[in-house]
Amino acid sequence: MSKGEASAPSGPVEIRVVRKGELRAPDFHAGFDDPERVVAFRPGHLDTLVGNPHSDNDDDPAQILAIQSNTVLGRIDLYKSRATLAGERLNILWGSCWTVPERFRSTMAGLKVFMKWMSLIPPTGAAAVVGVSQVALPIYLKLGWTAVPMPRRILLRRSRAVVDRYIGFAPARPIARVALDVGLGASAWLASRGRPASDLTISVESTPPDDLAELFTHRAAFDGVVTEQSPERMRWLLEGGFGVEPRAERSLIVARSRDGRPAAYALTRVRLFETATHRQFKNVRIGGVLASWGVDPETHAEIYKEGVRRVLAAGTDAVDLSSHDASLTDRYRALGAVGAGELAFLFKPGRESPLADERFKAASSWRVSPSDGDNFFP
Amino acid sequence: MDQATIRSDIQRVLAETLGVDQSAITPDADSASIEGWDSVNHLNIVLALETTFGVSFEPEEIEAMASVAGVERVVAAKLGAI
Repeated sequence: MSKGEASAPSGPVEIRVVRKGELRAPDFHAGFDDPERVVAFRPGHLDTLVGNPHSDNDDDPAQILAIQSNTVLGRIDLYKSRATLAGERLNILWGSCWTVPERFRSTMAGLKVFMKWMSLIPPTGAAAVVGVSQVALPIYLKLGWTAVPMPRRILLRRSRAVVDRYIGFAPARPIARVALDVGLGASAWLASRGRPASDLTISVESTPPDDLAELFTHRAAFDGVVTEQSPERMRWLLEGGFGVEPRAERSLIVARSRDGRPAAYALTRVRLFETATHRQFKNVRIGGVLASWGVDPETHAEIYKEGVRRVLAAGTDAVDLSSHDASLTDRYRALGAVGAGELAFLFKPGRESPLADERFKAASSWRVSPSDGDNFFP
Repeated sequence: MDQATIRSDIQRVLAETLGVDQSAITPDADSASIEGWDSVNHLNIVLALETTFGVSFEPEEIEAMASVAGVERVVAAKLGAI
């Protein structure tokens, strides 16, 4: 029996662009055969897709499906968003949850879905993605996407998961844990030590205050491409999600100066990864500051540090420090943070986009945060 | 370049990239019948063909190359051999 006979329905593969308005119908996907649960969404996932505050039109593309004989072979979700370059607004079409089950991969559904996404790139904007897996990365690169990776450091706080992974001889584990915890705990304590500058008042907000828009405007003045932030989008980030890890903790930390005006913000997330990283760590609680900004570099560094401190205080095993801005993360190297590859950010400019210019291949031309695209959603 | 040479070069590239014997690269073979011919390997094939023949494929052409016959058709058209 050939591979095709064993694994896939027959007939031509149809690529269908699903509009946001179509996804409002709760049973939109019910008419498809879905043996591999490609479109079996967890609670909240579709609401998040439809609730995207930067999509202002029900005709906006929100999903691409590959279908063969009414069977769903694969999908990608799309989030319309915006960036600013020299005061001009650019449309960005973020990709999310690009999925083709193993059984259907010989149908080329993945490539067909991807090609359709590329055909929808806003002419003067770009398609983009954050947090691409190592498996998918070559596809992006071979199709001419530009990678502007964010260097990643990991600050280990607890050793349990690391030891369980690397030390197979069970009696040795407690000793190794103690030894590692002493060293790593000291580093984490140093990282968590210290309070923010005395003229800043720190608060954790359950919902983004309206005057935070002042900071977003300041951020948009960056000399380069900066992804657009808004109170609505931040609320969406805090309240939306894919339902994968409902225990994840997300926080918005706001720093105000003495006159009460917002001076900085940080979005943090702590979540449990039941299987995390290519080294197959299990049950690891990883936290991080996934978005931040400050009115000046010093204030920005302060809020980032405060975010890391609070993530550590939440009892995480490790803190993920990924950023294009080395001034935020370099200090943690001295505290034991180790290099751990990169968080992929890739983009493909539209045919008339200013982002095709060579200078946008440099990280210094971008202000993209790890929370962009779908990367904040647990 | 004649069609026989093109076909032979294509068979070699496909067999090497997919890690299969050249005898498996028959005219009616496609991604569904050859183990390992998925989207990632498809792009590896495209890159290898571009190097071998000194051409560059458009996205629509890449999509049309999911079978041995499709590859031969696209490459031949690109080289002006048909």
